[in-house]
Amino acid sequence: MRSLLGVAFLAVTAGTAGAQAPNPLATRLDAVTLQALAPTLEAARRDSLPVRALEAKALEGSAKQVAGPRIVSAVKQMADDLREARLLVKAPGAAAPSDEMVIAAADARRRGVPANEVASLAHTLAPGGPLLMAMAVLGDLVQRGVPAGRALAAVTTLLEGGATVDALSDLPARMDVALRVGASPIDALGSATRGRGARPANAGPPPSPPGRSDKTPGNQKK
Amino acid sequence: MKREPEDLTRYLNGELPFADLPPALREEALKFEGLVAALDREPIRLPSLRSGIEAIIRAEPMPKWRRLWDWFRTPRLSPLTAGLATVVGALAWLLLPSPESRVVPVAAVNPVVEPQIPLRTIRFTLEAPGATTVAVTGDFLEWRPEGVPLNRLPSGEWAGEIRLPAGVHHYAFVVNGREWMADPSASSRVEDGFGHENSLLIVPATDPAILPTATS
Repeated sequence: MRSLLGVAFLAVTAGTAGAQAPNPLATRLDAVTLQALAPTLEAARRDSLPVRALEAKALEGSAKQVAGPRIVSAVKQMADDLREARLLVKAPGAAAPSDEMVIAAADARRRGVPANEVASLAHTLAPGGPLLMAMAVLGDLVQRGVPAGRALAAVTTLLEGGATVDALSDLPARMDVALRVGASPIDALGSATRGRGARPANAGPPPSPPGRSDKTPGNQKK
Repeated sequence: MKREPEDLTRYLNGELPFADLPPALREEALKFEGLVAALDREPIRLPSLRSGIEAIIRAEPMPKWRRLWDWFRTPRLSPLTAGLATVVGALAWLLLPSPESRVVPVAAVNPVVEPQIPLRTIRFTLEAPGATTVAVTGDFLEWRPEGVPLNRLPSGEWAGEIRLPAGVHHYAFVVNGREWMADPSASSRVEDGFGHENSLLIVPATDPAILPTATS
């Protein structure tokens, strides 16, 4: 009987606690910041943007002990980035892009990939393909100094050649091997794609057999 | 004379009559007798087990409130009460005010994801031999500063695994509880909007349909 009463008490207590589970934004942000964020989040909901990513940005700012106004500014900037990215990746007449695709496209833009290349890659790939990885690798290549057009050509060639997600995610790490020994970004890309079905715009002779990098892939950790 | 102490001992043990004691020992013997007689010879009385039990049986019954209290606080679990407790606990859980209130708290080590989304195990490592603590956190943990602590390996490397859903993830390491840093081994980094960088992780979907999709 005592056990019965005890379990019932715990269940009711846990249920009450669950009912009061607060929104992390409300508990981790001050009231002023929360109020300042509200219009941005509301507009993002209306525009079908990934609100969860915006909330995560606000929580990230809180975790990093950033001042409230700066958090608001960063979230507003991110909302603008996501709004633009959504327009870029949404093909006319096609279904709405996934939240993840919008986030990946916004990341690519933030990493220096021009709007045209982002849109082009998004519209080139068939739904269900390795869209996210391709977009991330495009950003990786541009971030490593490869001109956007050549980076896009390399990625699309790999995709047309049936490259797997693993092969795509390997590319930046393979490129880093060449960069570390002083190769230019374009030469490093050529070295990384050699024998992998991709031929960058400046690629000269047909590729020779590939060497295998021992480096652990950075994009796909396991 | 050498036997004198032995004679005294024999006398005191009752093995030798007083008269047989050497004259030199008789005075000593009398002194010992005096000392022994002065001892309290009252026997020590210990209560017997039987008398103790009888005393308990004859005692007046405890008040009801005391008996109830003793019953409540004395642990005694039978299969019947355990079963009843489980049933009542389950009923109490089901009859809570609203289903929305039954939020399962997210454990510190688990990412914030919908339960039906398949997860992939991701291993995070950081080379930081001088660190006292290393944790990984990111959007998958609502950027909780405590994150998921990594374990120190004998090599000085820190490592830990988290199960993550497919998609784009931003993350960072927290070293010694206060220093934020991007993953040096990650291929992809992205500016965090606060003047630093996060690492970017793509967890590929085995089935693209599992990715969350916007409603319009």
